[in-house]
Amino acid sequence: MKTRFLLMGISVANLHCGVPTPKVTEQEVHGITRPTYAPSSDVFHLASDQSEQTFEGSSMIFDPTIQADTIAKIIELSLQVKSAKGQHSGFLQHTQPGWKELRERENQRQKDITAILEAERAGLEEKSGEEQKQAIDHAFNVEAPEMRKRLSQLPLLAKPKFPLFCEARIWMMAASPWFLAHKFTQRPSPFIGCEAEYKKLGLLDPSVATCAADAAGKDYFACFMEEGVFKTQFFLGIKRPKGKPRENYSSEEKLKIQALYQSGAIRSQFLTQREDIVKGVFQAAEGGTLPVDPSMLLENQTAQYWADASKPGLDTVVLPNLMHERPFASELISFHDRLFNWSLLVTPSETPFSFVDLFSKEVEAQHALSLRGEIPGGLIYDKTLSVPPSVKDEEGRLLSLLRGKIQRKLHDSLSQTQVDLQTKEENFQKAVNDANGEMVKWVIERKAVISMCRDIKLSLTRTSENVMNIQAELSPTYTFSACMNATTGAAVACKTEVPTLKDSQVLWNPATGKISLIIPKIQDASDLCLVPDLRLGPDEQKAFLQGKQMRVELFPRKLASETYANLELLSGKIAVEDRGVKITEGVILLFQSQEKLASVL
Amino acid sequence: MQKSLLLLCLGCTPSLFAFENAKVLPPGVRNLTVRNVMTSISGKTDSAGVTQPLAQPLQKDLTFKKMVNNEKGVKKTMLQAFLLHEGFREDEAAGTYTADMSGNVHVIAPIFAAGITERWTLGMAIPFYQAKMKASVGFRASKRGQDFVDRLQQPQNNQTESALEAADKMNDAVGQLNKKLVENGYERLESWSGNDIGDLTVLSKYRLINRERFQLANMSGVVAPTGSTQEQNALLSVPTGFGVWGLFTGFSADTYLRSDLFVNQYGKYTYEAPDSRRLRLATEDESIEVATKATSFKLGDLYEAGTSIQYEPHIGLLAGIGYVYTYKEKDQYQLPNNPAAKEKVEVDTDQQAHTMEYRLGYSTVPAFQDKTFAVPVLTTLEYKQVIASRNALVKNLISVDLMLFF
Repeated sequence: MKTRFLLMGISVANLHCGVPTPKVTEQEVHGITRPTYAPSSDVFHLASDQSEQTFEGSSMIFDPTIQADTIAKIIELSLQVKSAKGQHSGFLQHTQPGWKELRERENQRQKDITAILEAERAGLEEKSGEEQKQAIDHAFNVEAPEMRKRLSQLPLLAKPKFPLFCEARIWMMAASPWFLAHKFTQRPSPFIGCEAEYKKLGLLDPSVATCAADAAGKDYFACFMEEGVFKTQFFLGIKRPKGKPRENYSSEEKLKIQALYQSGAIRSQFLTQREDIVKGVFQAAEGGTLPVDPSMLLENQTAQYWADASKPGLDTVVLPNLMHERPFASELISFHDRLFNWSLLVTPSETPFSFVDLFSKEVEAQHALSLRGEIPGGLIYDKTLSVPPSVKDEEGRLLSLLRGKIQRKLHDSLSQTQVDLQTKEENFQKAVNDANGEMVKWVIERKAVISMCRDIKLSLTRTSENVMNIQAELSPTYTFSACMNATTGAAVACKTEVPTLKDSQVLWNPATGKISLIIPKIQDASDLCLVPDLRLGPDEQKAFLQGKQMRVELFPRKLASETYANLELLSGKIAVEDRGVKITEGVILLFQSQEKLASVL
Repeated sequence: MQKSLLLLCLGCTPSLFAFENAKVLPPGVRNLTVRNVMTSISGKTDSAGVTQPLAQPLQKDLTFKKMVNNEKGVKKTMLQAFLLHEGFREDEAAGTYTADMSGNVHVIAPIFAAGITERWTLGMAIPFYQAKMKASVGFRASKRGQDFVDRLQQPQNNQTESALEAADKMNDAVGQLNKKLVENGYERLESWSGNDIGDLTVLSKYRLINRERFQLANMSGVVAPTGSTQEQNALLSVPTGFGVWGLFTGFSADTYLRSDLFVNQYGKYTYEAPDSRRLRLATEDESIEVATKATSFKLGDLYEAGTSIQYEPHIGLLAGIGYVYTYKEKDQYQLPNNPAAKEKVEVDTDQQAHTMEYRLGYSTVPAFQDKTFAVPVLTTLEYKQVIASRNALVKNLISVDLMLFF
């Protein structure tokens, strides 16, 4: 018994001793530095001076069987898109200010030209007798004294060339549409200061029937050609003995020439070439200088006429003289016009030349002077002698045609730098398009997606009441809109009703910049940019998405590196869930919209 | 992870006959031994015999592959794609778990023996275990782990939310590990304590030769699986039994150099019977989120041999020094269709150990026989020191025995 008690005692004592708790060295966690969200103000810089921003881009929802290498390639391609977009963006940021200035200048120039064209066209309209009288009175009272003064001060060097100038004026008048389109009661004068010279040279002689006055009104085209152009030394190519008229072409040649102008060919040629004359004037007007002399155009036009007319025998008779003899009419007109009319051009302190001066003042006044100053009969305008409708229509057509040509001319006249810039911009845009196309091609080839929306738009507007309005459009049916407090993100009522998808939610987290678009139940998956001919058929694709929940989460980011040139974007993921279980995911990438270099055409 | 972190069954710890001998009890004499064994465990040897911390199985890399495997669906594919695009290999480590683990085990083994005849003694023992285990797990993120988060955060990738998610998961890697364990039915890796009986051993010892200078005995018996095996869901749990029936036999020979000094030599073989159990099919890649399967298996048989010299003078002093070699064959699992799981469950299950043992004690038996002490009691203090081992726990045992004859 004693022994048993001893044994029991030992056992119980042993059991109660227990086991000491083992000691271990407490292990620490040396973790990862937690990243922080980039400040959303980098992208959503919706300050008072910029209340709205827009983003555009695309999304794709992956086929759930997509492989990792396919997504890796998509990541690579999306980086290429971002890089290309960054280069484009950087280029635009760098170029846009200068380009805008250029555009403004070009726009202004086009406006000026349009105004000139309109003014020129308006010049074709009938003017009342009162208006005509006022113009002529002004010419006589104001401009004539000035012109006479300048003529009296003609430099010695210019005097020998004055007769040639007057002959050139005949050419100019003969090619004037104003002249071609009107009838006159008396022979108009190419230039008032030249009438004495014409008399000396036997040009435009009023005693000749074609140049005689006609109370019923007629055109003086035949007069100007036969008694003017054909008798000028530019046409004949022979210098006339001083002060002595001369006819040195044969009767046969004379007959040919008469046949030519009587056929109306010259007249129509002058009329249709009007466009080029006006265009040339505009060219001159563009820079405010006179790079191309209108008279040079006259000469060119005439030469063109001779070349185009191609009348048998005429070219051999006329062209050699015209082509090989100097000086040409253009040279002289240029010389004298600069001397008499446009001398202000070369005087910096004076008002620069303007196109209006050329057409409405100089020419009109000149005609007025010519018609009234030296030729008895005075007023040549008459209501009964208005511009024929056909001519007006033709002028309208020409003006329209001219506008297009001028714009093309403007484009052509842009500096090479400007053209280079636009070409570069097009190349940058092409690189973006190519990279996007490559990505789309890849995902289609790999049958890697179910849905791919390629025209997503998202806009953020901040009102003065500190309300942020977010509007998004994944597809025309899937549109979202909501308003929230821009500081807290709390939902507030929108002042303006904007169409939004039923039951959808738009959330905005000001702390992270996160924008969430939530569709609790996809009602019609067929409107969700389904991509045909992939792993799943159309019905399967629709069934896969139909009724599911979709959540789009976007985060703003500014890519500040040189590669991406401060590109601003929204990117994130799309989750498609079925009763809380994620069944697939996708990606979304939107770039901030940027104003492109507007086309110069 | 599925396997016990301890790997060795402590059920075999208290050798019933610590210092072997060929003695048997006289007929009608019984004794009751109460054996107290105490040990602390903080390491184990690997297959090369190098001592490793007990927590070594926990000191694993958190590879990107594991991070991938923790995700599902398209999110998993997207993570794989990002790693691929950014040049991360899936076998690279985002970080490494650090861990420390140790345990204390106390075993009380009442051993009852009775002399049936002059040659034959029967004995029975059923140990009772008290064990406490504790682990501390930490995490050290690698540069690549930080790189990974940084890449996600880069402006062109703009995946700050994913970067935060990854950083938070890595910073809470221990929590994530415990969460995953709990989600898969395991207990958290913190601490464990348990009390349980071990395997019941019934021993027959029959003295074959009994000469003045030499004695030889056969010892045979059976081990009944009354102890508990590894708790499937408690990775820190201490098994108290093999869980299978075992049959053993062996011989023990005492050679007396003097009347109070003898040398014992013994050898023993234990056959472990086949059995089946439900097993988690862990692999090298994934050891937690795995399927379970009922599997036939056979534990490796045990071999044990030892020698000792023991001094027992008539004054009651007991002293001895010995050496024991133990070897356990490799376990075999029937998983023909899952070689990865088979490899994982069988690896490093062959074990061997070289142990030195020392003994000091006092016996009142001579005094009792001289009628100078009323109770025949024997008490010993033994110390077992593992001097070399392979795939075995590094445990030095201290045992205190109190034996009473009646």
